[in-house]
Amino acid sequence: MNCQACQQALIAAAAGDPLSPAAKAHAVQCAACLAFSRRQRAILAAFESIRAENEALRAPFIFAPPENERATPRRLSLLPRVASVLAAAAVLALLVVRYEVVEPRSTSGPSRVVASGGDPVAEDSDGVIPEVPSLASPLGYFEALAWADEEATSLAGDAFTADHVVLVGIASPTLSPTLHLDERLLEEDLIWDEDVPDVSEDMSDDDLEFILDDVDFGDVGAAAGRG
Amino acid sequence: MPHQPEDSRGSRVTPRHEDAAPDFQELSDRVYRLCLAMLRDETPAHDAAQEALVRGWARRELRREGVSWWTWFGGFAVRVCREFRRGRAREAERSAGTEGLEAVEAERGVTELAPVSLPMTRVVRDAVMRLPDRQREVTVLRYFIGASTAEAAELLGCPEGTIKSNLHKALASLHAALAKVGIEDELSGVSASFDRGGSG
Repeated sequence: MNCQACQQALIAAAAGDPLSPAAKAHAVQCAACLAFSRRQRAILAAFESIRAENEALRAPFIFAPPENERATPRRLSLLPRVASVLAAAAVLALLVVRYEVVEPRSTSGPSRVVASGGDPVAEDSDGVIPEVPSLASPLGYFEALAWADEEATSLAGDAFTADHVVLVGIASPTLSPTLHLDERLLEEDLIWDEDVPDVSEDMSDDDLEFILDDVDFGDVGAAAGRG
Repeated sequence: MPHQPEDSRGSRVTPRHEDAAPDFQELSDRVYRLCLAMLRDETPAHDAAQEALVRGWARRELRREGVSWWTWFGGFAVRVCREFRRGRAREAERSAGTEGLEAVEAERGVTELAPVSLPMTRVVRDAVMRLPDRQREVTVLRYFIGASTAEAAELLGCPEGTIKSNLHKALASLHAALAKVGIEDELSGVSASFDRGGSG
């Protein structure tokens, strides 16, 4: 579209630096650059015009905060977050251990869930966790999510929402991350907190891993034991 | 007026708990302008601005030192506008039925580029609204609102380099969009801001 010299001149112009005479001379001689700079002028002029219009605008209201209203105390606002992370870690542990698994006692019965290293996790006297639905099928997986949601809610109370289960679902290495990146994640206020990166619809797997990095799943075995 | 400390760069540091209340008139104006620039329609912009101010005020204790009231509330405004746009898009998708993608796009406020006979500002606004989220937000903040690169970075919670790269991509996309509709011949009469160093 435009040549390197003009590109640099435009960058300089956008940064507010004055153009050199040579750059100006070039700009009027180069046909491709001329078209480009015409568009650039038009765009910048339009920007200026739009900004001038904006600056003339006044809000149809004046925000008035309620008197005697206290801001959300920092300490309290962190509690749900911490509880969510702990609960997510516990749920992740209960879901992830299935990869070490799985000796179905019968084709229709629940799976046996064994932690990394072969230690049974929270099993009953028969070595079985009867409440865990089978994870062998997609349907079983969603049943497991529902189960995990209930478990997590009992652990963390209202601070835990189904979205965290979805987030945990994303961590599962055998499931497609895009499968579970649904609208609930995008709508959940917690996801938009300053400390958690943005989730957008077009994010890559790397981005998802980055998000999961924010959740401390470190000692999942211990968390599972507590769960 | 209590003395405000200065950080190592000599700029004012806003103590989180002790600083003065914001100028709500000015803040309301600025947040409303930002929402209107992001959403284009007055009613949703009004709602979004109110929502952003309420959210920002409720969580004001979390504002870090050095973060101005404007960037604090502006950050909420950007997020709320993003939610509004997504909500509008979902609503359009639900009601679209068999009308196809064009109806969805129209509902999203992403109309086809206006004919070139329309005012250039309209053409550019339309093109900006078609940009991806982050590029659009950066463009609106930087060029429609007049925020500095540093302000935009603080407001969006990303490094200044990200702002610059998104601006670069946005401008390239705008060029491509305007070239596509063939406006070259229409631009001769546009007054130049180029020699004055652009708008930025």
